[in-house]
Amino acid sequence: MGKRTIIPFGPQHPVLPEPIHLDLVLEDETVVEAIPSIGYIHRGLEKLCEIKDFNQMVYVIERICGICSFGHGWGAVASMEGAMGVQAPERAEYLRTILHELGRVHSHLLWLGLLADGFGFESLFNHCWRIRETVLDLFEKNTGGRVIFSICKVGGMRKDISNENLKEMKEVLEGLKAEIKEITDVFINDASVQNRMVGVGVLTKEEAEELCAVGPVARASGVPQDIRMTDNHGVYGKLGFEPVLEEAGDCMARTVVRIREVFQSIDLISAAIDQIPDGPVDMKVPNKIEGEYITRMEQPRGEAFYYAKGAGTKFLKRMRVRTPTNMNIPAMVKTLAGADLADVPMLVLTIDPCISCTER
Amino acid sequence: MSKLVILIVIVVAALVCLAVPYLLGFFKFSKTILGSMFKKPSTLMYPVKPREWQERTRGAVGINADDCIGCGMCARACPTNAIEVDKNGGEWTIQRMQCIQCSACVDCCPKDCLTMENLYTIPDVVKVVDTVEIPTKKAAAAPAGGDGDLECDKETCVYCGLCAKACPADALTVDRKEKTWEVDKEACVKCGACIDKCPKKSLSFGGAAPAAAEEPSGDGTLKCDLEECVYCGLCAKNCPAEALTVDRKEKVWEVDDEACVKCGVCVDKCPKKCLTL
Repeated sequence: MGKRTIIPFGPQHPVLPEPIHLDLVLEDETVVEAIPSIGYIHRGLEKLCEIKDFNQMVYVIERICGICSFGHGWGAVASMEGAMGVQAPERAEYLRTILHELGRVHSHLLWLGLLADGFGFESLFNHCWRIRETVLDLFEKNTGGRVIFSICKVGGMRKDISNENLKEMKEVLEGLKAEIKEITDVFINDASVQNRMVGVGVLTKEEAEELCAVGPVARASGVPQDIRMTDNHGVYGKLGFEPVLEEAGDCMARTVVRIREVFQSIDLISAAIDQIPDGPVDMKVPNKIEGEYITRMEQPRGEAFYYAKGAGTKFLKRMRVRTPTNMNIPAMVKTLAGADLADVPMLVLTIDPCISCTER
Repeated sequence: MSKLVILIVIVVAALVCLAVPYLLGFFKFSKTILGSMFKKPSTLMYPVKPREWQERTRGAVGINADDCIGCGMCARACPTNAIEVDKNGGEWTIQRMQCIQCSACVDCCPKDCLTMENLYTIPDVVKVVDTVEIPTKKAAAAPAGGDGDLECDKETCVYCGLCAKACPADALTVDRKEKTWEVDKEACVKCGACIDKCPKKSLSFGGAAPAAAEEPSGDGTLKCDLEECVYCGLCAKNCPAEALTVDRKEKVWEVDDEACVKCGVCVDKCPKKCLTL
């Protein structure tokens, strides 16, 4: 048994642009314990929501995260709509579902690139991001923004997306499938990738349930946990949604879940575009928020939670957002114990951490 | 010597023959790499080849200063307080680095003089602050006559509520049943949107006599020349009091005289000019 040493990981680390700090307690090359600490990027956005009226607040909430920005905007809007007791028009719900799933495609492709970068496969990283660029262009064409969309508002959508544009979006995405398959097959079949990921950082089903893992991390361990199944947001019930499940619970399984979700999201977008009804996308809403409401939303990284409590005016008394990474950190710490030092970046990356979300 | 060379060549060839299939099986990515060697670059030769903007791209806020009335709605709507409006000084100021391109100001502008341009603010080493001169208060309020608080001539007012609907600042409260008309002077931004909308021309900014309302020519009840009427329903759609019922299929046009506030909006809207008051 070797002498115990503590190695600091982060807040600045090459695999992760975001600041999370881990104290890794090592014995020789093996991690015995990992002690996470966050708090490097707190921006006080929840507090800011109390001095911005509910229309301005959507733009603030969207900036919690640059990757799942549409989901955050939708989550906040859905909780405020719930507190007001209004229901957005059906076409708006369809458009929100489409943009949310498009956001998932863009988020997972970004993550696959970061993962490839994490294990040193630079060209694979570049190819993942090349494909993601097409998705960003679709966003820019339909919403006006590449990363922050500002298209969701309380009561519906600020702009309609024409049926021609939706049809074009469907064609582009169906055409992308072959390109994505070519790249993602490398993740699944390449021996050098398998060496880094198969059997690394196994999280069993029991552990995942016990540690309240959410999103792809839970689904890779065989826990059928996906808010889209519950049909409390969007139109997933009408699209025949089934969660993607893997059993192994290792880094490879978490990657495969996300790869399969990319294709699933494209299928969901195509199905939604086929059935989208015509009609208004916006409606008049009351000028004040009373009461409180809770919404859950399946973000690319897992279940997010939104709570809004109105003050009886245009302002909110309290806005609370709990993001998926927050829930996945215990699972990450669990998998880190007993891992090799060289595998630590892989284990941190495969929960798809978004520290800016976590701290807001 | 030559035998040695031949031997070396044979050994190398054998190694290559063995290694290539192994390497291709090992490196699943080789096909993609070989393919991209013969493709055009995916990147754009920026800035030699400029980027094409989409119609909806949000770049920077632009202003058509001539139409601006300095109401300050944009400054209130801005989530980052990037816009400042000085009505008396005639200045509209935007801090470009603070602007987050959400286009909330563009949406709320009652005069539609703000636009979202495609091109981003040009990069600079200082925090850019753009100031635009706008018409000053006196000139801007000219169309409505005065420059005081909003006033309503209660004698001509029919309490239709169109002004309250048009108000971008939600400063007006109109109750048709109780016959009340109230303005929240703090909230009113004096944009004049209500004055434009008022069917009876009873609104004005204080200090000037309201323009005389057109006297109804008939006996005061709304009538429709059913021979001319095409039952398009535009009158019913625009009626602030929801007093009209039009059924195109059944060819029915009905007016609820009790509900009608005789504002004349339907008369103006009728494409066939078959309505009279």
